[in-house]
Amino acid sequence: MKKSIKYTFLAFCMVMIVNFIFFYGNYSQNQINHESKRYLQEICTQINDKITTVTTNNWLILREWNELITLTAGENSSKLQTFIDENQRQRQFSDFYFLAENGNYLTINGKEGYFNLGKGGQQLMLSGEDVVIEVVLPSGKKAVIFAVPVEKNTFRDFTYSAIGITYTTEQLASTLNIDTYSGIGICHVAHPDGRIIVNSHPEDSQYYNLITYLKQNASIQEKSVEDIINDWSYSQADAVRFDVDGVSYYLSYQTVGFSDWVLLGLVPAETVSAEMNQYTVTTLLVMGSVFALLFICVAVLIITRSRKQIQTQRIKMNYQQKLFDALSQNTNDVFLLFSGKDYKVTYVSPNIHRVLGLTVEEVLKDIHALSAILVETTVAPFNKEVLLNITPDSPWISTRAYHNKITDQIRWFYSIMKYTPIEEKNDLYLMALFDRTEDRRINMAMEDALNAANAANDSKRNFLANMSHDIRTPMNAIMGFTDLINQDINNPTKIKDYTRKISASSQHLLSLVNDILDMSKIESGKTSLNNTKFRFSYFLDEIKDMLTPQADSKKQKFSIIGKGHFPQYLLGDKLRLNQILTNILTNALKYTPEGGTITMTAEVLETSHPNYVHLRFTVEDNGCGMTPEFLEHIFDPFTRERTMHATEIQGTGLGMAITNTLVTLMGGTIQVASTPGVGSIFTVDLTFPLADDIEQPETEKNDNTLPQKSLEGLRILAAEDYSFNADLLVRLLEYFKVSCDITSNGKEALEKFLASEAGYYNMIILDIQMPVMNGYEAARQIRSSAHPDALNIPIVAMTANAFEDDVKQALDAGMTAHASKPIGKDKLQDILLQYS
Amino acid sequence: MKLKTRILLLLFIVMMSTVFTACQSGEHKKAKDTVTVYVSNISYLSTYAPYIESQFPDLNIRFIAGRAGISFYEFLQQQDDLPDIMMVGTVSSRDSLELNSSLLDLSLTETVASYHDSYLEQYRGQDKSIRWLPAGGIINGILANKDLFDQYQINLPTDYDSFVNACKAFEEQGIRGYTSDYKYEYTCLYTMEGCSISELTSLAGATWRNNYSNSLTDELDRDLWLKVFQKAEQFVTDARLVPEDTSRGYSMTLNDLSEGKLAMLRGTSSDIISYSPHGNIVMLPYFGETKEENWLLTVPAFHVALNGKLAQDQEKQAKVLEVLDVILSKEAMEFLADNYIYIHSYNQDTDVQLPKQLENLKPEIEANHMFIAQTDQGLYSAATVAMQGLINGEFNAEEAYNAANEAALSTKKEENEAEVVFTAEKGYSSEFMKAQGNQAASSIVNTLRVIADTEILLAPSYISTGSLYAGDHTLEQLDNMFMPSGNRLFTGRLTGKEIREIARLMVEGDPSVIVPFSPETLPIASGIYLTVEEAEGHYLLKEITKDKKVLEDETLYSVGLVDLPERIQLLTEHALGEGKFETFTSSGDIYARVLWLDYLTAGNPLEAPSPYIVLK
Repeated sequence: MKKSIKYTFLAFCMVMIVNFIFFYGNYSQNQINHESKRYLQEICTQINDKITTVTTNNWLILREWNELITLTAGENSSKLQTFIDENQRQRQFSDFYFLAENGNYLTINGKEGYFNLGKGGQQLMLSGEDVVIEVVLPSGKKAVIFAVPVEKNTFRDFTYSAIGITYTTEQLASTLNIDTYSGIGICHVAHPDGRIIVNSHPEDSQYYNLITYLKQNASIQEKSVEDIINDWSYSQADAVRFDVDGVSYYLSYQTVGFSDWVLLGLVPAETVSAEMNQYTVTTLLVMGSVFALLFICVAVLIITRSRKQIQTQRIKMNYQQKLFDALSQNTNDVFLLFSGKDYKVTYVSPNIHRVLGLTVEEVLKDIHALSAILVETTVAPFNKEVLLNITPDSPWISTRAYHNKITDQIRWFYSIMKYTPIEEKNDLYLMALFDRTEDRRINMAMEDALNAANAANDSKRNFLANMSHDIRTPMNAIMGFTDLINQDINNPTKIKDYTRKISASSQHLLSLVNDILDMSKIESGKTSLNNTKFRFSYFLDEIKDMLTPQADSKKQKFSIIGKGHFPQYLLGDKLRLNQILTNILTNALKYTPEGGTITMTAEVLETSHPNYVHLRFTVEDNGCGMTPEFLEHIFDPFTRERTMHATEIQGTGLGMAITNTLVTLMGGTIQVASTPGVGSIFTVDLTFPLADDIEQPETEKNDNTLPQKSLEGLRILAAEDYSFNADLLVRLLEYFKVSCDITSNGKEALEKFLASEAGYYNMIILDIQMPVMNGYEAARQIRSSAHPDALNIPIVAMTANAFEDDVKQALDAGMTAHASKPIGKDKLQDILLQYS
Repeated sequence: MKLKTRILLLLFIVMMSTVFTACQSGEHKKAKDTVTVYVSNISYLSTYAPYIESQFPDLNIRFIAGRAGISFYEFLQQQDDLPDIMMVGTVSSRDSLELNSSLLDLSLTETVASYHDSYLEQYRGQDKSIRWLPAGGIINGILANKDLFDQYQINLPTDYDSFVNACKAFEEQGIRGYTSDYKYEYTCLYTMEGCSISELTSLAGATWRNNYSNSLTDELDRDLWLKVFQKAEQFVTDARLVPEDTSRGYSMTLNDLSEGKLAMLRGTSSDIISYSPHGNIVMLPYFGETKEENWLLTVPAFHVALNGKLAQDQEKQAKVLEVLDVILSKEAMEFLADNYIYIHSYNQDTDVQLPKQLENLKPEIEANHMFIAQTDQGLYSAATVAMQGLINGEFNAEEAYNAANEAALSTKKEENEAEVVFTAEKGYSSEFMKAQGNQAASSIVNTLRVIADTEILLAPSYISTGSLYAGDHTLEQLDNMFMPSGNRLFTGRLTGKEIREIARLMVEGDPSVIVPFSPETLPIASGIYLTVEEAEGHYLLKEITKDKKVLEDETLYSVGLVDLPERIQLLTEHALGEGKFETFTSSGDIYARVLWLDYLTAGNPLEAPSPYIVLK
């Protein structure tokens, strides 16, 4: 827009300049014409004056001579002749005449002759006027006679009434010479009808009659020839410009004062105007130069700026092009520009080869190369009709997949086809293929994840439902039997049964919580292996010992068979290995009915690495088996076989998930084969490094015994905000004859500790989640206090938070140990023995 | 066929058509413009007209020998058939007043501007227009047979007194010192003016001349003309003119000259040629009291005017003006001078060299004592009446003036009262047609053949002065249709071969006749059919047939010939040898023209034209 205004303004300036030059040229030309004519007229006036002067002088001279002639009448005429001769030489006239009335003449030299004076003769002789008459000399030459009437007299017996002198037209021409303009001009004296009497340049004469010549040859714009003749008849002076054969002349005319003759001045216009033209030309040249210079400067400026702009634009465009190319090379979006008239492709983004496996040339050649690799569209195929419906505001959108035959990859694109007004004449359309392959993948993954999440949610919901059921189940027993204790308080046998069942339910509840915690750790990735050296043979024995009572209770035959040469020591997480095998065996024991058989075989397999041992554990039972549908999800968390039989069996549904995760964590594999109503075989393959040469304290049988010492007399400072747990702790400590100062929050505990003497308390037990001050803060303040026992006194966290982070946090707060609830009598004792 | 191919084919056809048409059109040359020029003298057709014609190869110039008088063109004016260029012998503004309205004003032409101003005054009308231009002044003076002067040892006169003395001296020898053919108007007028040039060139004379020419006065100014007639009276006495001189014609005068019975006579420079066989003829001026007062009279060889209709056709006007310029050019004047020895130029830059024969006139010429004769028709009548009256002794000067004045006044009246003597049923054009010839001339020649009662008649082209017009004719008008001057009708018998030879000379040209240079100048035949071929500007007689049969060489045919006797004599001698001319019978003193006039005025019709020639 700005550019068009600029160019319009420039064009306007040019037009104005041209107009100005044209009008100025016209104006100056008109002025030149006017001035030239005026100047020429002035010159003609001067010549006219000259002629008049010559004429009047001649008449004057003739009168003077007449006096002389009269005085010398009768005397020797030779004196007169000499006088006349001398004057003839001076004045350059051709002859002197004594004129008779009838036109006869006698020259001073005695020649006689006749002039046909015509009407001029009548004027001279009858009217007594001084005349100038055109005559023909005896030689046939044309001449002009200046004559004055005189008193009749006689010269050499010749009676005369007038005297005169003649000038040939050539002699007279010299008086008409236009000196100005380098003598190029022509001057005539002519009759009123245009017949030339005297010509300043007789040698150049082209005509006898100027009027006739003008009529036949000239183009006069200002006046007609008749107007010119009319001017002459009315003694009007003027000047006109005429053209002959493309050459312009000025004609100035004015009547001669003493007769009806006309003085004509002819000068080529070029000559007259030369000087003025020179000035005008110079002026115009200067102006033109100035304007031209200005124009050039402006043009240069504009051009330079335009070039710069163009250069900038070009750079920008190159940059944009390169950027676009770079972007397109680094994106998977493909762009095409094609003509709607003939589908000729004018632009293809260079990344088309990488994205779609088509070369730029292929597509430039034929847009339908795209259609050849089209896999699927979700809308109607593209055609001419579609093109017609496309407007700048109404693009055509589709989703389509193309097969990259080079990478054999299917790519999905969000395709937009839009009319673009870049080049209206070519009816260009933009096709943009936005790569949506990743998005589609993500969408599908998210869809899968959503499905999985939904499934997980469903599982969680089921788990929570189950968990709620599973938790409620022992809770019910606990609470129920607790109620029964009150009822049968006086029946020790029932009380004993009730407490036994309450304890079993509590243990089940605890294992439920522990499994949940384990699963949570595993899913959050917080489970790590504690690889230590352990004696493998003892390990198998421990498992046997632990599960034999359970098998015996259901009269099941449980055996562990070892095959191969077992290494003495292995390096591994004995606890987790125990958990794996225990989970499998526990399930086998659970889901095998009474009298069934459960066998675990531990086998040493060959391994390529000499420092490793490949162990295979196979657990086989003849229990109820599992359906193939359940087998697909056996290792999913919170899944349990929902057969009539299995439903009755308590479990968290997390055991196999935990087992699978642990096996995977150990780098092993677990497989299961089962036939409903026949039994199941679990096979676990694990590889352990040999530990025979490693110096590491053995983890022997899980003895868990601590050196026994008396706890009596210990004083414990505790903080527990839950009154029941506080009461339980005091009572448990009283069992061990340990006194306890119980507070309800960490602040009170801190105050009590700070108020105590050094060594008063043997241990501080803090719950973590408490109001006013939690256990971590209390521990930090105790440790940072100035109390003498601040750094040494054991502080044990006793909390339901059982994750590893909770343990770390406790230790970081300055606590000595972390004990997770529920804490029973034995565990409390261990804590007291270990840390007091 | 593809569109491109069709277009190319069409273009090819158009191109070939254009080329073909151009070739065809190349064959058809653009017709030449025609300019009609009526010359006033048959002799102009010899060299003068051919020269003019040769200067315009792109023009078709028809030269026709018309009549030299104004009345001829007044008749053509009535027929609306004026030629483009017309020549008359003498003319004045006064006499051509009626005709002037049909003539082109030449005042603003280069042609007029080339004239010396002093010669234009008498041709300028009151409205400042100029219709007529004089061409080539023929010197008019007194011719003297120097042989006689030498024989009788009499000095050639140099002034009036010596002229009178010479006349007296010759009379004593029984020889007429001076006389002339005062039968004719022009001799009367030129003699009268020649004797009184100093009066006529006076202020009074110039004033009267201007007034009379412009019809501002119809009378002869008494003061002026009484002097003129007084001088004339004196001349008549001094020149010893006798009453018989008033009936003296050309032949009689020539005869006396040739027989040495006459020493001086009035004449022109052309007469020097004519009279040269009879002696060493020199020209003398009209004598004044002193030799410084001697004058020569000049009479323009002709006056020329242009048709006024040319003003409506600027293109043709320009061409005709070009022809006029050539007619008046120096080169043309030199051809004209062949007839007159010397032509006095009225134009600038056209001076003809003074021939040796006229060198004695150098003083008068150099002194510009060249008086252009005033030739108004009224003056012709006036001068004739006065001079003849003076010569007869009937008048004295005063009476001569009165009679002259009356004659001048009555001239106009006579013209208006002319009687119709012939009515032509049909008119015939003079335009030459290749397959049949000039119809007007054919009609005249056919009529002549009837008059001559011959089987065949041959006549020159100038026997006809133009077209024949239907309607009433006065005698003068009828007379004007026929060639002027002393042409005779000759009849005789010739064989076919002889006729063929005569016709051949007439067609192909002979010094006795003009050399035909245009179809219009080919001879006219009656009773026979000429087959003529044109080749490079010349004509060849191919065949003569009579009644569609080839003219038989040995068969005798009655033949008529029409022309001046001397021409016919030369023609027959050249064609047939000496002696054949004598076998012809002449119409004697009766001009062929008169025979023709008498025939028609007797009530006989003009014969219809018949094809007599085919030009190939």
